[in-house]
Amino acid sequence: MTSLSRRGFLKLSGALVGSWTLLGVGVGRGQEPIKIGISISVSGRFERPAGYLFEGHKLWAEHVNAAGGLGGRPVELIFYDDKSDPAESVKLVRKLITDDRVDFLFSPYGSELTAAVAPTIEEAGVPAIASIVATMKPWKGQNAQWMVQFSSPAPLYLAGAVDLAAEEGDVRTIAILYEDTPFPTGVANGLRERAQARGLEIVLDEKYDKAVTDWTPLVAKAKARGAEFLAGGAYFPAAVGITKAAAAVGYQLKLMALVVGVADPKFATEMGPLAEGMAGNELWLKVVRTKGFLVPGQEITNEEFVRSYTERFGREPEYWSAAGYGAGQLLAQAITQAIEATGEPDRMAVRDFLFTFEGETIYGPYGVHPLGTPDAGLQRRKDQFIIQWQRRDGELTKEVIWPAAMATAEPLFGWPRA
Amino acid sequence: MMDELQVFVEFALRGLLIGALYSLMALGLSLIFGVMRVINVAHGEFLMIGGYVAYFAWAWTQLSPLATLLISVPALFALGVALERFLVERVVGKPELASLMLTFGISITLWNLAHALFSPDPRSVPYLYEPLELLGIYISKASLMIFAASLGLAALLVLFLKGTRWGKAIRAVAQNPEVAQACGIDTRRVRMLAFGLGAGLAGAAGTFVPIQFSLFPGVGHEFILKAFAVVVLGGLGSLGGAFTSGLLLGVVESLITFYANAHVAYLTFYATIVGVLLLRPAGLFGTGLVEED
Repeated sequence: MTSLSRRGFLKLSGALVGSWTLLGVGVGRGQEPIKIGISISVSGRFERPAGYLFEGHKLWAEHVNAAGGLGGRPVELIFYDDKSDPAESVKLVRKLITDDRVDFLFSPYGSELTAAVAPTIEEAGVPAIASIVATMKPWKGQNAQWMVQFSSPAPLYLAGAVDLAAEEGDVRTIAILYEDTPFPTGVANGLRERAQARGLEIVLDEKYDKAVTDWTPLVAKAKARGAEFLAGGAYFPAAVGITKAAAAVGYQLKLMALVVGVADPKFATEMGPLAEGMAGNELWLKVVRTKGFLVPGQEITNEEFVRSYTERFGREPEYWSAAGYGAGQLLAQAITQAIEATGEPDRMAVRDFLFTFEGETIYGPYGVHPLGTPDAGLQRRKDQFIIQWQRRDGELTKEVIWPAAMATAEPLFGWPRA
Repeated sequence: MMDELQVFVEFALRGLLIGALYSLMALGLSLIFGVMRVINVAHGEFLMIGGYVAYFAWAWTQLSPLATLLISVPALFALGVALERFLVERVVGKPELASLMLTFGISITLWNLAHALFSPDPRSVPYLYEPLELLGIYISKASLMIFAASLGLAALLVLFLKGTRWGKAIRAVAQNPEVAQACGIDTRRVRMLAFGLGAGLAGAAGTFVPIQFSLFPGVGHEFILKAFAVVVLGGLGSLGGAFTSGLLLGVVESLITFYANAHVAYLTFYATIVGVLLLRPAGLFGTGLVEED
C-alpha cells in the first residue's frame, strides 16, 4: 500500500466495483454467465430509491445462482453508476450493449432516466424490463418492440378501487375529482375508463387547479350530485384537504379512495379517526400475499422475499426493492422459457415471452399490451393494491383490501366510520 | 326548486365562511399599503410562518389550536416590526419598484428558509372537523370557528384604529404622513406598528391554515394572489373594502365552483384584478384608511 494513496485506492475500488459481478457458489463453474446490464443511480438524486431497486436485483441474482442458475448458467449483473443523470444513463446503456455485450437489460431507476434510454434500447434491440417507471411515454403510441413496463402506469393506480366498489360495495355512482397535472390526470383517466367498464354512473368528473387550497366547494358539489364513491386526488395535501372537506360537509360515502396521500403513514396520524375507512393505493406491501417464479420447479413467496432481504441487507425492503426482485423473476421466467424452446437464452424468444406473458411475481400481477399494437409493452395488469386504514386492537393499520385474493382484511364500506 | 335554492344558499354560505379568511389576510395587506404605500409581496409568507408557529405551538404544547393565536399573532407582529425596522423602512417613500423588489426578496428568503427548516411535508391539525347541521346544510365547526374568530379580529382592529391613540395615529399617517409628522406623530414608529399589525393579521390567518387546509412552505403563494384580488377589489388601503371584498370573493368563488367548475372559480381572482384595474382602478370602495368614517 506504500505507493497507493487513499484517493488511488478509492479509484481502484471504484473501477473494480464498476464491473462488479455476482456469481453464486451453487452454479457450475465454467458455464458462460447470462449477462444482464443496468445503468443504476449509485449517486445523485435517485441514490436512495435506486439503491433499494438495485438491492432487489442483487438479491434475485444471488437467489437464482444459489439455486443453480438458469439452464445451468449463472446470471451476472453488470452495472455502472449513471449519477442520476439521463445523458450519462444513455451513454452507459450504449456501453453495456456494445462493449459489455449484455444479453438483457434492466432499465435505470424511474421515469426520467428510463424515458431517456428507451430509444437506445429500441434501436439496439435488446430485451429490457423497465422495473419501476410510472410514465407511459416510452410506450403510449410508440409501438415499442423491446422494452416492457413492469410497474403500474398512472391509470392503474386507483382502478382497482372501482372494481372493489362495483363488485363488493354495491356502488352505483362515482365522483372523480383530480388535480389538473399529468400524473393525477392519468389516474383519473384510469378511474373513468374502469368506471365506464363497470357501469358506474359518473355524476361528477372535475379537475381543479393545483393551487386549490380549499376542496370544500368541490366535495360539496360531489355530495349534491349524490356520488356514493369519491375518488381521485393528487398528492398528500389533496388527500388531507379532500378528507377534511368531506367531513366538513357531512358527506356519508360508501367509499372514498384517494391516490398517493392516503397510503402515507402520516395520513393516519394527522387525520386520526377520519382516516379509518379511507382507501388508497400501494404499489407493493410487505404483507401482500404474492408469489412467483424463482428457477424451474421453485417459487418464492413475498413473505420469504421480505425475510431473505432483511437478513441480507440488514433492513426491510421498500417497494423499489420488490420491483427489482420481481423484474428479475420475470426475466428468469422468460429466459427459462427461451432455453426450453430454443436451447439457449435467445433474445427474440425472451422478448416474445415478455410481451405475451400474463402472470404474477412477488411484486404483483404482470401483463403488457402485445407486440404490434400501438401501446405495446405498456403495463396493463399491474393494478395497484388498494389499501384501507382499519382499526385493529385500537390502532389504525393499513390493510390490503383489493385484489381479494391478496387481501389482508375485508373491505369496510361506509365513511366516516365514527 | 327548493333543492336548487338550498344548494345556492349552501354554496353562498360556504363561500362566506371561507371569505372571512381571505378578508383577514387582505386586511393586513391593505393596512400596510394604506400607511406605508408598500405592496407587501411577502404577505403570503407571513401567513405561512404564522401557520408554522401555530402548528408547532399546538404540536409541542397541546394547546387548543384556536389558543395558538395568542402565540402566532404576537410572534408575527414581532417579525413584522423587526423586518420593518431593519429592511422595509429603507424603501418607504422610494419608488414602488424598490419596495416590490425588497418584499419579493423577503418572500423568497422566507419561503426557502421554511423549506430548509420545516421540509416540504404538508402538515395539518385535526380540529373541529365534525359538521353542524343547519337547515339541512352541513358546515364544519372549524369553519364556523374561523369565521367567528376572523370577524372578532377584524372588530378588534377597527376598535384599535378608532378608539386608541396609536390607532388614530395610524389613520392620520395613512391620510397624510407629512401633516401627521408636523402634528408630532412619530411616523416611523407608526409605520413599524402598522407593518407589525399587518404581519400579525397574516399570522392570524395562517393559524387557521393547518386547521382548514394543509400547511406547507409554498402555501403563501396560493393565498397571496387571492389577497391581492381582494385588496384591488376593495380599493387599495381601504380596510372596510378589503373585508367586504374578501367575503364577496369567497361567495363568488364558491358559487362559480358549483355552477361552473373550480378552474373557472380560480380564474375569477385573476379576472377580478384585471377587470377592476381596467374599469374602476380605485376599487369598489375607494382608497384610503379613513373614508369609512
